[in-house]
Amino acid sequence: MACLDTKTLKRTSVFRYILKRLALSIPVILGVTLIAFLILYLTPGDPVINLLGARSTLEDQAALREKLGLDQPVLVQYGRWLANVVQGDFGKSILSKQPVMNAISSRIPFTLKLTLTAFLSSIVIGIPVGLLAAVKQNTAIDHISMGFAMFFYSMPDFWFGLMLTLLFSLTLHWLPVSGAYEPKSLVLPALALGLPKIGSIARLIRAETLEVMREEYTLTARAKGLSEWVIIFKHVLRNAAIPVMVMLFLSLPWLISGAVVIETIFAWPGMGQLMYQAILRKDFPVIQALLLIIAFLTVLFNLLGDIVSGLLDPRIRVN
Amino acid sequence: MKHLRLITLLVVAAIILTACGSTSAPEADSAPAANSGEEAAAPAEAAEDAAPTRTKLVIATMNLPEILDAQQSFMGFPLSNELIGQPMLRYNADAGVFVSDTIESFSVSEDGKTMTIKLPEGYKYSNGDPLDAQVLVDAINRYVEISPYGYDYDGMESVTAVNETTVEIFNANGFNGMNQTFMTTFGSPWDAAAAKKMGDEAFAYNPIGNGLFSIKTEWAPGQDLELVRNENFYTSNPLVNNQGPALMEEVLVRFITDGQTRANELEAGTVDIAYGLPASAANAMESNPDIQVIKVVLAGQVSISMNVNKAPFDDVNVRKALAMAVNREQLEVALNGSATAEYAFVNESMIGYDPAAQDYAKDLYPYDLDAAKALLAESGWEDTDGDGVLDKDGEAFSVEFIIDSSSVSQTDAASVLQAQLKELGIDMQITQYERGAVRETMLAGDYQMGLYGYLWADADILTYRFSEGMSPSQFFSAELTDMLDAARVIPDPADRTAAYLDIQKYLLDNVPMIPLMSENLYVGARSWVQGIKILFPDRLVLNDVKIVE
Repeated sequence: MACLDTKTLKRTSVFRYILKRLALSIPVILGVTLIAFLILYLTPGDPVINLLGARSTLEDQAALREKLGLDQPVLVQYGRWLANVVQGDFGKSILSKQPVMNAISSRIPFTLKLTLTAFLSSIVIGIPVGLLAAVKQNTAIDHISMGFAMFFYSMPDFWFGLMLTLLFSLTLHWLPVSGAYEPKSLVLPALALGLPKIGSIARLIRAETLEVMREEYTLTARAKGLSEWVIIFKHVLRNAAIPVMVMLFLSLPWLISGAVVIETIFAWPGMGQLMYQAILRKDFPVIQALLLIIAFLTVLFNLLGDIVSGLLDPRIRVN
Repeated sequence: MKHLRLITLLVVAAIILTACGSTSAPEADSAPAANSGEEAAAPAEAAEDAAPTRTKLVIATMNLPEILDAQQSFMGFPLSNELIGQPMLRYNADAGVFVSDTIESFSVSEDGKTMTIKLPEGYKYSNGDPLDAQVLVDAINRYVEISPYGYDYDGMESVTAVNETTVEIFNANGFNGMNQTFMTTFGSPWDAAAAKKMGDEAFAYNPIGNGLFSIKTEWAPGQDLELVRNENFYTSNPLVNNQGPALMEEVLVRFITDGQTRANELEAGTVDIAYGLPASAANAMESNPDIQVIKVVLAGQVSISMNVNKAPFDDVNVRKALAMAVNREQLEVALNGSATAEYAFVNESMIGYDPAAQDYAKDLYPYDLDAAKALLAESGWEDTDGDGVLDKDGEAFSVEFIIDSSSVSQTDAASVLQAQLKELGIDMQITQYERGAVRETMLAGDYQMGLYGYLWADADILTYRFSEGMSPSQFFSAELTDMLDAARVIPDPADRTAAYLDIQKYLLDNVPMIPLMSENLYVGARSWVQGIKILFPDRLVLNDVKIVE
């Protein structure tokens, strides 16, 4: 009975912790959207002049400004936007005059597909490479793998995009240049997006593994005669993976925003491409909706990262 | 173990999410084979009568539309929209006259104020809906009602269906402005009845039109556009050979916003036509026998705008000196094909173009640095302290030069101009703004000097550039306004062009803006594509296009 009570107590405290974190995330998200809203509106440039082109009169511009509600004070506009968002209405695109969610909804799956593939491939490749480099410390394998990791980490993703296209599409004709038609269309954009991440994960996991391998409990395990692989996978990797997992979850929203460039280069019909177009054309409602989604995902993955860390390391839960 | 299961669950969930985003692949035979390095297909002329070897065309275009109904759109996206809703008129630049396209004929009354449009009998939209006179009237009224560019039809007092196939439009301002819209997909007779039935929101994404093609599979924003031949298509366009439905059965329009990616797709042979190539890529492709490249000078231009209300540009001598110090030939070379040098205000891709204006400008302002320095010296600008920068009354000739940060050609041109004006002794500081901000700042008169660009295919753009409240240079006068108002409504093309020549001379004499360059558009196609035509000013038409591999 006492055991059950303790479990219930633990579950309740975890639940309360998650609820508290979720509640705290609301002002963060609102703060992000407010700042973004103010920055967008305070930067020079009138979307109405952009939209109506070179032949519009001042009267035409004023009429459209009024129609779009852009003649109202910024905070009034923000308040209206927020009130609508709470009711699930993200407003209408200035450009297409259609609901913002129409433009976003068809793109979300593509961005998720791209970023999650990049995310998973960075785990699948980055962790073994980092682990191998640590186990084979100061050998040729270590130097070569860390050399590549450093290179991947240092180069920007768009550079990888261009180089990969040159090699695999234009020279070898193995993979399509752009588009999103078939599974192999995903390879180049996901690689371009994931390679820098592979570099950072490999470097981090190597550093963490080396540190854990010097811990007393690892020495104890080794003294107990456990096999090297058991020690590495059961004791070392589990502890070394904690900061990596946190970093990975926090990097997911970065991957989504980083997809802006990659989606443009590879004509990948995701949210990044939409964001790029919306910024160019100052389509405020679309930009706001996308920022809100990215802010929400950042908070969500931050929370998930904390939960996973807690699951991997009970000390974090207790604290 | 529990933790392991949770992590596994997260990974599985991620994979399921990934799977949700899948999309259908294009048909395997739809895209041309990748460049295998085999001998290039025979040139278009040699194989003109050859039978098509493929029925589906793949086009990469630069504009990413949010909607396809041009009447609701702020943006033109001419290619994707025009394939669905084709314009009623075209302009024959060689003859200097408008010609009919998707209508049987049209005529304008002698006073230039009444246009009569004749439709063919039994004319239908791609879905089989009738396109008669009343339907055309409804389409025109819908444009006025819902388009943000409804002001295009300012002056239109009535539009009526005279009988089943005849529409009469009365426009007190004449048709020069209105024809511009009829020449684009904005003025196409989009199916207003279908829009009403479907609702404007649904129609925005999957509109019904009279174009060469219609939408094959339901389209959503961000997706490529699959089109199928419109069997009801009608044209009387004398500028194309094929007056019947398209020769291609299907078209896949791929929206690729990055220019280099479009070029890569064309090189790989995975698209047949790339509409809009970066100049560098177009130059590199010129030696490729598998690719044909067409260069088009875009209608409109980029000019140096000087604020005539602010010193030192309130002095006409200073403006003239700058006009003589700009070396356009050098600029054109530096821009490596992305722009063409311009000397006057109406370029070759605009209605109202007269080469005499270019000659007048070249005579008036030849590149002559010494003459420019002499003009500035007349106005008191001399390098008294020997620092290489002119000065007057103790103040250095230092100006802020504002440009549109999103325009590659403007940012490149600004650096060249900075170096050229430095030779004259002017210290030019470049400031980049977002396009809307440049326009806003210039129209408010809150600047000294900068680059101002616009795209428009008619000389009547000058009315907007030099009217009170709309003039980036802040230059306007009663005399000029009278000339502009008179010119834009002249019905006879030759008389109108002559009137705009006088206006250009007036502007060149006062030089509030220095015409600088027009941007170039490059269209690339694989050599197996035959029958490509670019109609005035920059419209790619597919009536005659077929693929012979």
